[in-house]
Amino acid sequence: MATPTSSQILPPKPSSSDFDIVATYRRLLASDPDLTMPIAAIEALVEALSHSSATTISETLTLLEHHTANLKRSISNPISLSAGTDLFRRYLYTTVQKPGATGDFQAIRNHLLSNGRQFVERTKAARDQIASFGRHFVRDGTTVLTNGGSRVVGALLRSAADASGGRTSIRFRVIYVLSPSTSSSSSSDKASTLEGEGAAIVSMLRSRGVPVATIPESAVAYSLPQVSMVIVGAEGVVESGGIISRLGTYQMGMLARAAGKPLYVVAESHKFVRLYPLGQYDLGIEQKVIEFKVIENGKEEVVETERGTPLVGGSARMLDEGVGMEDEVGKEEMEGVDEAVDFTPPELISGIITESGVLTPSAVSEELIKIWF
Amino acid sequence: MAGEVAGEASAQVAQQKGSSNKVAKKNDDKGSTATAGQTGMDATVAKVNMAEEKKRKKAEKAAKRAAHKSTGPEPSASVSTSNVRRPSSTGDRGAANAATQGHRQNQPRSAQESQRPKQNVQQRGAGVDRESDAHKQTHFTKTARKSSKEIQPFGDFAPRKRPQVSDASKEVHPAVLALGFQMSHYVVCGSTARSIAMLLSFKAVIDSYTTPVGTSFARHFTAHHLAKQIDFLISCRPLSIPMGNSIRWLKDIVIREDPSKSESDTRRDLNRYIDEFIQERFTAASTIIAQTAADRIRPGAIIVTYGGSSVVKEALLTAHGKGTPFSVFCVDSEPLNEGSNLALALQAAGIKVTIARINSLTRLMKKASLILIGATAMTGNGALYARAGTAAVATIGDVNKVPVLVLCQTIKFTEKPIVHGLEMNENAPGEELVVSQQPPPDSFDAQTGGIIRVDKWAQWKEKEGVKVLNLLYDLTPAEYIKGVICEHATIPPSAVPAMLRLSGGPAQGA
Repeated sequence: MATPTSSQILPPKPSSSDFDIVATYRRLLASDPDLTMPIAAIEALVEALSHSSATTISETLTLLEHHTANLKRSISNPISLSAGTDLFRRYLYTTVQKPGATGDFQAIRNHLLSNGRQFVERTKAARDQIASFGRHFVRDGTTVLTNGGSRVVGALLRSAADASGGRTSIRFRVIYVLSPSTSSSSSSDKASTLEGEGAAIVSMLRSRGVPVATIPESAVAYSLPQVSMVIVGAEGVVESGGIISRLGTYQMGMLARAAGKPLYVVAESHKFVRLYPLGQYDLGIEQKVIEFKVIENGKEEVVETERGTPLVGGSARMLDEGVGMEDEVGKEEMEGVDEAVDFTPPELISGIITESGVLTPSAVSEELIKIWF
Repeated sequence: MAGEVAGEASAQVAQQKGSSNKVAKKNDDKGSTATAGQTGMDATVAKVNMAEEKKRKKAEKAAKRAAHKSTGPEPSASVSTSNVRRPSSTGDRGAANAATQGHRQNQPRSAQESQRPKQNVQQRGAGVDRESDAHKQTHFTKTARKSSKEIQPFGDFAPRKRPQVSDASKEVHPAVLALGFQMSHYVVCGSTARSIAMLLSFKAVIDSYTTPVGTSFARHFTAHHLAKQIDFLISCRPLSIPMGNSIRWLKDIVIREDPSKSESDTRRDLNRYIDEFIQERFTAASTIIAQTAADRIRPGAIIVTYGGSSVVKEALLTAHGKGTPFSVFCVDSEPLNEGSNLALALQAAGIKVTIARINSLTRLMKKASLILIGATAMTGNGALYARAGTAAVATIGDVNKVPVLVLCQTIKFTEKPIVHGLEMNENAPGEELVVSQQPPPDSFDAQTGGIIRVDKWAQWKEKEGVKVLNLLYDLTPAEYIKGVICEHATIPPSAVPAMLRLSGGPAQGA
């Protein structure tokens, strides 16, 4: 299984290519605010291919593996990204294995490059398609609870708000969960842009006449009685139909279930990840959310982290020391809670709105099987 | 008994119907088995219907007498002579199956009869932990017990018989004969082992087969020779789903053999195909699954497993080979003691194991981090069909939020949905449960109590009012299963039919 754990990844070999995939990836992400991580990864890989002088299929695949590994290593949470790289690799494999693909490698390469770009364009269009599907979920008189800064949720709500002009106007309200002022630390500028986006969606909706209330995360349960549905975005949709999303989504899902409100997920199908987590600590990434500390010699010291926590029960302390616990060198550490994600299991999800239709969580696996076989 | 109930208050009409139906059903079992046995023809549904109709009327006239009869001698028709040929059914159960079919066909005929399937479900459900049925259930069983001890929820579920050499037809190949007895006595046990052993014995059958003059290999072999082998195997133990799938595949490739090919070439090719099939669908698949599952085992994990699945064993050994430190709770149960056998193998490899009886599940589940279980089959509705006791392990695991992973090759997938634990189940001879032929050396001393004392029940067949239920399988509903690891991917149980479709169906391969 293609879990994005980077433990098996070989040490970097900078000599093999002078193309800086990571810089390209970051540049792409920065240049286009509408770009999602998997698509940026695909675009970066396409660019890497066009820069390469690979002349054989095997060479191309090796290059691709190398760049993918580099990318994954450089990002603290490669789940979303790996959805893109896996998809591209799969696409490449099927293209080169096609019976029509004859010996002319150059033709295959050109085909790949042009199709790769087409693919990127198509996935961007997916968001509008989702918005047009999801709009019908927002009916007259509903109150929508949402969180985070998901662009696709924003697109959906905008589309619903735009439909509210004229006689058949849809009147709906939005309760937006915004974590009160994030980090003061400068390194987590990513998180503050997310907040900025959340705020941007709020003002966008308010300017269109949609009443929006912003609440802190602690007020979710309090506000649920007047909520008709919860709509959230996702960083990745996993094989079991659960989602990986920003920290706090799981608890919203649990509260919504307890209150009997449906939880809908909006996600493009390129966010489907080949990952099958069984619980919160099974995502193949390390997060610094839970750290047990004691005060020793007057200063705080971390005695236990989430590292190697068994799925349920027990703790890392019970483990035999030293096995599989080495630090992964060169990996950017997670910046605490701001960027952290959690896993919402499929039982809590009522539907996943994608560009190919509204899926039940169990249908995600079927979609993935279709892609991979 | 039914007569007595009829004499009681009219409020119990429903129960009475149930009971008299029960009686009728008993008779049907006998009737249809006899028909199949005597005529040696296929037990046609029409015949069963007629027999059933007649018997039921009789039963209603003299219900009391019939009730008496029903506890009399068990259906005695020899199963191997019966030609009820269904890959998924057994000789013994063939009759029961036919009767059930009759029920379904009769359903719309009258109001009374339309009650029957419902009642049946209730009766059968009595032995299964179905919370939804539970309260309806208690009421029913209470009245039934009050009136008579003889009607039991599993009354229609006759135990499998031990095969006799004399039952076997002369065409049965010695290799198949040996395998049949080995399976019947659990020497060859576990659905993977049984399927592989069956395919290997069929290789021997193919090798020693000569096409009679005037027919072709493809036409004669399957219908007239292989069928007899399969019938004998069924009479020893019902076929498991992967065995059925393998047979379907084998029949398919035999029929597609070029008739112009020389016979020795055909034999050689078929043997090669079988080897490839075993390699691809069982051995290699199991290795891939074991590797995927081994990656799931975290350092320090406590794995719970039940029974003695070969894939789970391979997975645990693979994880151990990778140097992951973990320990295993091998949950064991009577009468097959597969759990302690697995523990022996794991211990020999140096894995820390704890052997626990199934009655200590609730306690040990508090410490567990992952449950790995093998399967006999994954059904079309995502339920897991496996060794009896698995459902208990999975549900208790679910209560304690311990994820349940099923390790299962796609050859064990079936499109067929199974919604009830008794469907396709196998009632093994009761003496296996209560009489231990050779008490295992490491079993508890009888003085310590805890288990039924063997000698007390040695003569259980003579004792009145005793039935022994020795079911070999049970059904775990999909909601208790977190994921299924097959050779292609890890999937949620709901995706079993999708995987089956996309991997080309159970009978494809090689």
